[in-house]
Amino acid sequence: MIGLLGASALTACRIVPKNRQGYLNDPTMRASESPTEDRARRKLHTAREGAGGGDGEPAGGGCACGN
Amino acid sequence: MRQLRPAVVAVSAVVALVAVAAAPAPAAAQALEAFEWRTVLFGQGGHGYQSQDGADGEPGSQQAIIVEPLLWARLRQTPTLVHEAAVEVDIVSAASPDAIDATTSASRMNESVALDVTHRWAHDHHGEVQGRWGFHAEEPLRSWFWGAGYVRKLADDNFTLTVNGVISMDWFDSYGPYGDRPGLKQRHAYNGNLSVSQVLSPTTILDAAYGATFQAGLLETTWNAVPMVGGGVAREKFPGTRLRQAATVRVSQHLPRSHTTVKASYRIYHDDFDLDAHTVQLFGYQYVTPWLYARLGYRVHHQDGASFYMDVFPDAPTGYRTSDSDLAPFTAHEVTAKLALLADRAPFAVLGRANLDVVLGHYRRSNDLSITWGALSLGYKF
Repeated sequence: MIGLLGASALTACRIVPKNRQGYLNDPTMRASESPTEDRARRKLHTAREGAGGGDGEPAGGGCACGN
Repeated sequence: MRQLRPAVVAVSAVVALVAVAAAPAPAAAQALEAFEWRTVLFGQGGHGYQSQDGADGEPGSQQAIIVEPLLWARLRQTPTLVHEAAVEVDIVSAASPDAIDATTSASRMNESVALDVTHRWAHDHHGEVQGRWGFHAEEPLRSWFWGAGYVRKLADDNFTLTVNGVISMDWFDSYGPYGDRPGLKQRHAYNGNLSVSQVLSPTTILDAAYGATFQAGLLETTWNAVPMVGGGVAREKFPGTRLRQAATVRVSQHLPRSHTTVKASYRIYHDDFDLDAHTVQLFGYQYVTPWLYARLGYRVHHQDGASFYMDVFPDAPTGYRTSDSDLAPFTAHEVTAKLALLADRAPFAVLGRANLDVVLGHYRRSNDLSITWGALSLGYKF
């Protein structure tokens, strides 16, 4: 599904030049608003959900909670 | 292993950050570019069968208060080399008391410290090589990790490809639910990730990511209790390996006329404990002024539980087993609210280039766990 979405995105869109990327660089559009907020939220979920982690960050290691 | 003391944790954290900031380089080229400090206070309530803080055969208390200070900094060593370091401290009142806690309260308060350092080297305007390392220490555990990654931007930065991997090694005291202490054990994890980001329009971004983690070693939380029908508890028992996979898709859309941003993401997870999960997350941002925005968030997570999870097991179970509420089937709902002030955009100059935010949140699981938290953060760009 992700591959199909990626392929369709690549073929369907035109390149947006850098001088038209102002809205994309707005703080609310960034993938990470804050490095410390990301860490705190990720830990809240990975320490309490057996299905945490596994996408972009290691899961299962590095914590005595072990789930 | 000895318990960490708050003073030791705090001093270690500061020394680690200073050591990173003082990495050898031409003095004139070094500059602290940004830092961020955040403190989060969590109040947790609820019950789980893995906790022994309750009647025999009944779920025990998971009540805990957690104070979590975090510090992050970015240092530019040369025009192409940047270092980022995050230090995280947790001061936790025991969330799932074990036999030792219940009888002596010796470890009713735990402290942990983690350091996460990333080095980024831009070999040209479109490519970046990353190295990463760090450690985590808490009462029964020491952990180290090392990783590497590569980021490539293509098509006038419209497309970004990121590949990275992390290896982590844990050493821990494997004391059991009756306070027995068989000795030092290990586990290790190998994690690989692939993510892409594609600009779809001047106001739209699509992100997708896939990650897999292979774990091996003693994977269970050794002091977790597994209640038995006839009374008493058995020790948790997991398979020796676990393969976890997750994929995420996210769309971010900015609406210039109303100064609004919306983000929606979906995550699917599967592992070979037969645990499947689906997570949907929505964020809405609204600028009140050009330098102040509010964010509302909602997240729902549903997991169907590990195949060997049961609340209470028949006497003397022999197979894999857990009564850990984190591995049970449940649905979790979370709501958050955030107010962020971007002082570098403000007409007043009192705070310079600072950012301030306050976040409040509430998380509730269907199997009797709830957490309410608040966070306050101050950041600064030099």
